[in-house]
Formats: sequence, C-alpha cells, structure tokens
Amino acid sequence: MERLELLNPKYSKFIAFLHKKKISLDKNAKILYLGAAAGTTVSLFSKIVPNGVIYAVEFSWKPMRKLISLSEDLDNIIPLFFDANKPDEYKQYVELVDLIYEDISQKNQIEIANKNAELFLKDEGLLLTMLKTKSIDSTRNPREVASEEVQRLDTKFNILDIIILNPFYKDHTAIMARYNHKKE
Amino acid sequence: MEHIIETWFGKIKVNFNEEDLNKIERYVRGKYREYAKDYGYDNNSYLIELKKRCIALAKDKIQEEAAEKDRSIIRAYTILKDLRDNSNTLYEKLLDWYKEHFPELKIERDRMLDIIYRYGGRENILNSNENIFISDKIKKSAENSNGIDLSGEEEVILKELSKTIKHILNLEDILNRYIDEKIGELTPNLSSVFNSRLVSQLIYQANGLKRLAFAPSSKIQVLGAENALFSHLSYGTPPPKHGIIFQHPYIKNAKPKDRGRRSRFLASKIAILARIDYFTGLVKDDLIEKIKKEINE
Ligand SMILES: C[S@@+](CC[C@H](N)C(=O)[O-])C[C@H]1O[C@@H](n2cnc3c(N)ncnc32)[C@H](O)[C@@H]1O
Repeated sequence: MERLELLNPKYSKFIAFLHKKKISLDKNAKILYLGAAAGTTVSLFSKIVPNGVIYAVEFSWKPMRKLISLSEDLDNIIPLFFDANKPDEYKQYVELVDLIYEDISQKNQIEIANKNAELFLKDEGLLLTMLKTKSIDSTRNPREVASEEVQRLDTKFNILDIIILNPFYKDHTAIMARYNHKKE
Repeated sequence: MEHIIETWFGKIKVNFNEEDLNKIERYVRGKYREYAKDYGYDNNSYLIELKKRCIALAKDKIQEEAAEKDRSIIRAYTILKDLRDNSNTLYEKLLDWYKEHFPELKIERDRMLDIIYRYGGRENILNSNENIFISDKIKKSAENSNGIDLSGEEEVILKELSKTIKHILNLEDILNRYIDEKIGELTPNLSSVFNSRLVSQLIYQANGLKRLAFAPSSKIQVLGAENALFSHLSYGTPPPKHGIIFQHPYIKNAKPKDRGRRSRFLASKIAILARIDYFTGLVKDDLIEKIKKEINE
C-alpha cells in the first residue's frame, strides 16, 4: 500500500484518503464495493487484495459495461449490476466481507451502508464511506453535514475517524467505522 | 428447526435453534465457500463460476435496459419526424401569406419567425426602435414595400402562427438533444462514426438496435428504401441500391458508378458497429478511427 500513496490523490478518493490516513488491508481481504462505476478504484483494490475478492456493485449500465470487461481481466473482481439500496437482491451472491467501501453520492448513503453492513459486514469489519456532503445538503457547511450524517450510522458501528478530503476532493468527507455485530 | 437458504450455487438446508432467518442467513453467508464445497466448488472454481454467473446476469439486465432505451429513442424519433413535417409545411404556409404583405423581406427562418412574432405587420416594423432586431435595411424595404395591407385579424393569425412554429422548433431542439444523448449511450461506436440523425433513422427503420445488429448488411443497405424494394419485388423495377445511408456524403458525393460499391461498404461497417454496440457496448477506438479514415478518404 506504500506505493499507492504515491499516486495522484485526485485519481481516486481512496488515494486521497490514504494521503491523510494509513490503513492496512490483508491480502486475503474480501471487499464489498458500493458504487463501483467503471472500476478506477476497484482496480486499485484488486492489487491490494490479490488473494481476496471485490464484490463490485454498480447500478448504472454504462459504467457497468466497462466494469464487466475489467473483471474479465482481473480475477478477483465480481461485477454486480444491482441497486445498492436493495441488498436483498444480491445477497445470494455475496459472502460476509472484511470491508465495505461506499462511494455512491446519494442522499441516503448512510442508510444504504447500514443495510449492507447488516447483511454483509463481518463482526469487526470496517466501513469506509465517501460522503459527498454537497449532494446531501448544498446549503450547509460540509463539516456540519458530515457530523449529522455520522449520527445516522447504525449504533453497531464504532466510529473511528472522520476525514475531510480537502483539498483533493472538495465537498467530500470520509467516514471510517468498525462494526460490532455482536452488540445488539 | 430446518431452514432452506438460497445461494447462487444452490439451495442449502440448515438446522438451527434460531428463529431469526436474517441471523441464520448471515451466519451461512460467512461460510458460503464451505457450503459450496458440497456442490463441487473449491476456492478457485468458486470465484470463477460466481463471476461467470454475475457477468451473464449483468449482461442480460443491460440488454433489457438497452431495449427500453431503444423504445424511448424510437418514440422520440417518431414525434420528431411529425414535428419536422409540420413545422416545415406550416412555415411554408406562413411565408406564403406573409409575402403578400411584405414580399421584400428575405431573411433566414429563425429571424423571420422572430420578426413576424414580435411585430406582425410592416407598420410596427417601421415604428420599432429596437435596432438589434430591425436593421435600417429592413426598415427601408418596409417603407417602400409593394405588399398589400394586413387586417388586424390577419396580423393576429400570422403572429400566433409564428409563435406556434417557434414552439414546435423549440420542442424539436429538445427532442434532438434527448435523442443525441440516448443514442450516444446506446450506440457509442455507431454514433462515433455517424451523426445521431442517421443512427436514429437506422434504429427506427430497423425497429430497434437488436434488429439492426442482427440484420445482414444487404438489408441495412436498403433500410428506409422499402417502397423501392417493394416495387422491385412486385414489378421487377431495378432493385434499390441504398436507403437511408444514401444521405451520407460518402455515397451522396460519390460518382454514380461508385455508389453501389460504396453503399455495400458502408452498410457492412454499420453492421459491424451495430453488433459491437449491441453485444458489448465497449468503445472500439481503433476500429472507429479506421472506418472514419476509410469513409473520409
Ligand atoms: C462517484 S461515482 C464512484 C466512483 C468510483 N467509486 C471510483 O472511485 O472509481 C458514484 C457511482 O455510484 C453509482 N451509484 C449511485 N447510486 C447507486 C446505487 N444505489 N446502487 C449502485 N450504484 C450506485 C453511480 O452510478 C456512480 O457510478
């Protein structure tokens, strides 16, 4: 992962995130990626977890076509053409995962993260969600929006960090949280 | 208690002293790979087979959505066609009438419509002080015009008519933009080589991208020339050499003796691009450049 940090942070929100925060992922890690688009960041993950797998969910058909052909080249990417808002529809394809990475720029992004965690995130698994604060409320201060959104996270989450992705990504905030599924 | 859980590799029977199906499913989901062993999947084949399934599933759904896009394009296109016919004939009729009143005014369509809509008769044109719209030249010809007078009622009719035509043209613009966008998404390869008007006509005449992609190039060559084809089959008139694709400068501007060969060539390239668009949708830049070069030679 050291080398990834050297990449241009504007290339991907995940790189921008790594510029501000170190995290480590096991080579065998399983990842559920919500909002995979054409797979720019997915292909980075593909290198980070060579022996793991990335379940890449995307609901728009245009990027999906590219994602399919990417997954034909990279063994550990499984493309899922589904709406992340309806995890029941893809639950039979996805195992429990170590990380949920979410980048979908939707108003109900946190709610979607909660739903997916409930079905797919391991106990002690990690959630990393890239909030586009502007698309949630463009009239207010991003920090304020982010801290309000954080409160919507399921209480099974232990919030680890809130990281503003300025200056690389304006209006984006990353939230990192650990899941404790045994807590009920 | 016995439960049945559906997974992509099959239905699993499990026994748990637990009522909450969600909890059971979650538990099983943590052990998909173990359960899958009973179905003959090891760690390797698990992912390979799963990927195959998911890709097939995604491709099917993409094609369904593409069919939906087809239909919207065809709908928009038929409306656009009707509007164009109407705006053209209405504009001719408007001009016919207005010319009696102001035969000297010769300007392009959009300005003509604006002027008639804003001012109506020559009188108002003369009295206007909006120099952006009315040049001195127009004023002069209004002053010296040989046209007959308009009644108040006639003026209202012509003003309203130009307003209506302007509305129609505006809707045509909106539809054109809509079609451009949808066509670009649906046929990234075809529409990189041909303009969206030609592509939407092809899709409309073939009745969808799927049929266009499945058609032999001999059929694509004469798409839109159905009348000529019909008379060829029933009356033995010469077969049509080209339909819609005749509009393309590559054929239109060719010497008559080259047109047959060129339209066969163009039709075969359209067939290839339509197939790529329908079956994969991935942009083949090299091919696009090559074809562009060949037809712009
Ligand atoms: C900002 S882009 C993601 C970029 C990508 N993560 C990367 O870095 O390469 C957001 C993507 O999320 C997708 N998306 C939005 N809502 C979604 C949903 N409910 N389910 C699945 N995908 C969704 C959009 O189609 C879009 O492709």
